[in-house]
Amino acid sequence: METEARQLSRFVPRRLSRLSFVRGAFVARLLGIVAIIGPGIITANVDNDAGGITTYSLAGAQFGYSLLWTLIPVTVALIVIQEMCARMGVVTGKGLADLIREQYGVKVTFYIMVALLLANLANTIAEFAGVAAALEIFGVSKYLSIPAAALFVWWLVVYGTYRRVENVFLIACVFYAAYLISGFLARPAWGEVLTRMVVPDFQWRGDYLVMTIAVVGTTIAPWMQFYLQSAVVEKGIRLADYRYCRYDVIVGCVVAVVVAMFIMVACAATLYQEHLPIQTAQDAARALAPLAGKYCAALFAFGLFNASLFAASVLPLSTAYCVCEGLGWETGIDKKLREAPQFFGLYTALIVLGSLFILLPHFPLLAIMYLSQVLNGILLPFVLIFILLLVNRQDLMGSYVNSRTYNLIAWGTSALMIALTLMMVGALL
Amino acid sequence: MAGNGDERFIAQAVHGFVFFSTLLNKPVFDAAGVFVGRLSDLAVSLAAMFPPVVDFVVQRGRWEPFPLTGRWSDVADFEGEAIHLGVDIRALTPAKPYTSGEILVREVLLDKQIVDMSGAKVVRVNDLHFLKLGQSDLRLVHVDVGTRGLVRRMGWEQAIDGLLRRVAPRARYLGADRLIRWQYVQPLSLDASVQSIRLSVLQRQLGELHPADIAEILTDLDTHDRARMFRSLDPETAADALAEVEDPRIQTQLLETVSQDHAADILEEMPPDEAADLLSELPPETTTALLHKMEVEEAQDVRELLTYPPDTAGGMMTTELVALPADLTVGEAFARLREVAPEVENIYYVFVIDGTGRLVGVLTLRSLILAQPETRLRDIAIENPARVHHTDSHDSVAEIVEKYDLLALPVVDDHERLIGMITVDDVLSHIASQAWKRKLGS
Repeated sequence: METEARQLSRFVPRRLSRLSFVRGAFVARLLGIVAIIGPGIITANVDNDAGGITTYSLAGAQFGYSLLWTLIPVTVALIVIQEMCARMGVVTGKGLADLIREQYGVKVTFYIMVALLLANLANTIAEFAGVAAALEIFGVSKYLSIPAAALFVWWLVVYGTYRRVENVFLIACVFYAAYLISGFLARPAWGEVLTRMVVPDFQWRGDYLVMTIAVVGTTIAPWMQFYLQSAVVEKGIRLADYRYCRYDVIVGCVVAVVVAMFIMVACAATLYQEHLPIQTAQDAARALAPLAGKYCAALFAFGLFNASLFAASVLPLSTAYCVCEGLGWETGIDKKLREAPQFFGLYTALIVLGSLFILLPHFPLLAIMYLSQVLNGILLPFVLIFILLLVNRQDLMGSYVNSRTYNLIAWGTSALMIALTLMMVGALL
Repeated sequence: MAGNGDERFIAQAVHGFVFFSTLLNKPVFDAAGVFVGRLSDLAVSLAAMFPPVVDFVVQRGRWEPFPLTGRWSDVADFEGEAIHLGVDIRALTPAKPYTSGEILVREVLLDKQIVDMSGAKVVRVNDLHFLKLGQSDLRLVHVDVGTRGLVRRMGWEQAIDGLLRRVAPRARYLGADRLIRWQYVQPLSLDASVQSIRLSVLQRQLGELHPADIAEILTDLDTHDRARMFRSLDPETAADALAEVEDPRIQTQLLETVSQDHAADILEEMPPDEAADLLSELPPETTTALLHKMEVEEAQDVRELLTYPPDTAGGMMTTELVALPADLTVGEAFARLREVAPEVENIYYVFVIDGTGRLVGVLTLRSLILAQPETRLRDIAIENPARVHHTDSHDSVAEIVEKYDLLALPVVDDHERLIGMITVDDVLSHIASQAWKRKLGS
């Protein structure tokens, strides 16, 4: 029987070589979770990355409640911009880079992709800086933590386990609740908080202006539009289900900004009140003292670590996808290195460079954070203009073009964003 | 190119190749030398095997939105610094939309995704390659999907080539044009009337591709193109391809893009266990509706399979198998095998059952071939074969298949009646996913 079976193995049908159910089984199981948490919420959580936590902490610590009023307009702008991308993804079935390439040709696409690549490299460096800062609180040297983190991120994708780990990251985002609780425990003057939320308190001071722009810039970054649209396409959301997709985007944006608000409130109620400036990650952690007491540093480190690693996993991969799709190179983590050399090359280069820069002695971390903001700021106006041009194309969007009112809000928002980012670039340079 | 001998040179001179990027945006002058505008597009006729250029389109200027169009045969010279027409500017007409078997190459092909049928890949077009057959006979022969095409479009070809020749004259890049012959190009953004012309070509070529390749093409396409291509497949090809698509999300998405009647046809063509797996991913009301539309017999098989929980042997098995009565002779068995073989996925094992459907033995195709035609099956069957109960776990199935080196394992019910079999490919999938989990766990 056994030998016969062996001889028969030559006749084994070709299906044998197919392992479709390997992936099938666990993807199916994941669907339960992933179906609820959509691309909008994931994008929002990646948005609160190392740069986000740092900026919001600094805003609260230096300016107290006086920057809270910016958050409502930022939410509106974020929703308007992200919704247009999600809509384009659903209607055209194509990513933003693909659409720009197909409608506006090679040259424009090439320069936008180069800018996106540089901006996201700087962003990736900032994420690895976040990892280093978080683990230094636990006394882990960056010469140990950074190579390990870079390897881990690379492994996630190469072994196709990213989807599983994504849920771990998302669950770990519950950490943001720590700011919520801390914010409450610090007993801020809620009346004042609410007033400051709605009453603009504009100050014509250089540092105040820079901080305002930083808050806006870190909340609305160009990678988010590319990432969200690709994720919506990847998920294959149908027009009939677009309503849910829109809710997902709106909920995601609101969650992102609520988290930002509580980080600011927690920092304002503690650090600002006690006139403690933030110089290191340890200082920023003290905003969590009302909740965690002496463990606040550990809690903060954990949250910063998760946020940084999450973003560091998403950014290089989505950048490599975007750039390769825009320029027509083969993509896909299931491809062999030989089949998609540009894709793997870009992906690996982003991680290697992103982590290597951190390891250089006397590396100007702060300068890189600023540089990433500048590059984001230079890129954003172009991205916004292309989004608006594309979303209003009747031949692409059919009846899903912007309505006149929506266009008014969208162009207004974009004009404001462009003005702000130009100011930021000017201020930083 | 130089130094390849005179013959080659003459051949090149008569039949030169022209890249679209070198024509695009070239200034256009009419017969009187009046500047008309810049070349913005070419129309080709799809009727011929290598589509000839029939029309050209000229953009008048940045602020003049209405382009002009003229016959390509009116072009006197296009190889110099500018394109010179043999006619007056008044011979040109306002550009029109193309529908009847002609396409605008820039609108439909340039920068767009196409399917490369020779490599079974979805690729993006960087440039178009024309062959000059005569004075005004320009044929589309290749699309360029390589990095050289990209560089040429950026306008850096000469600079980069010059630099590379000096620095690394043997660089692979210098000879690495990636051109795809037009016959193997399947454009995606065509409207319906033009699409139908290419569709016959597409279907013939798709028939030659392995279903796994079609599945990969489908996976690589964006949602709309994916749906369009899937709809154009005949039910049998669609079923094979669908079974090969790895991502269940894409599988269900594809099935939802076709009409329910078409979907039912496709499901009938699939092995029942695959069909059941796919249906179990769909919303219950869709599953019911599709089962209702399927042929009664096929639907019955699938419905039965759907009743078994997915994590049991029953959920893993297929009902398509060869089961023959024990008192049949080998000769009769062959006759029956010939009848059922086209329908059944795996005929290498023949199960022997008694009058009540109980499993009494198993035969391999090999032992059947070696036996005398008049021998009865009960005499040569291996009695008491390894089997599993339909409630057994996947792990125990894998264990038994591995232990006895089986290609297929029979599944029985409480009364030892044969109800299905599990083939080794499904077991392998299970083992691989276990291995995956172990790797994650560590």
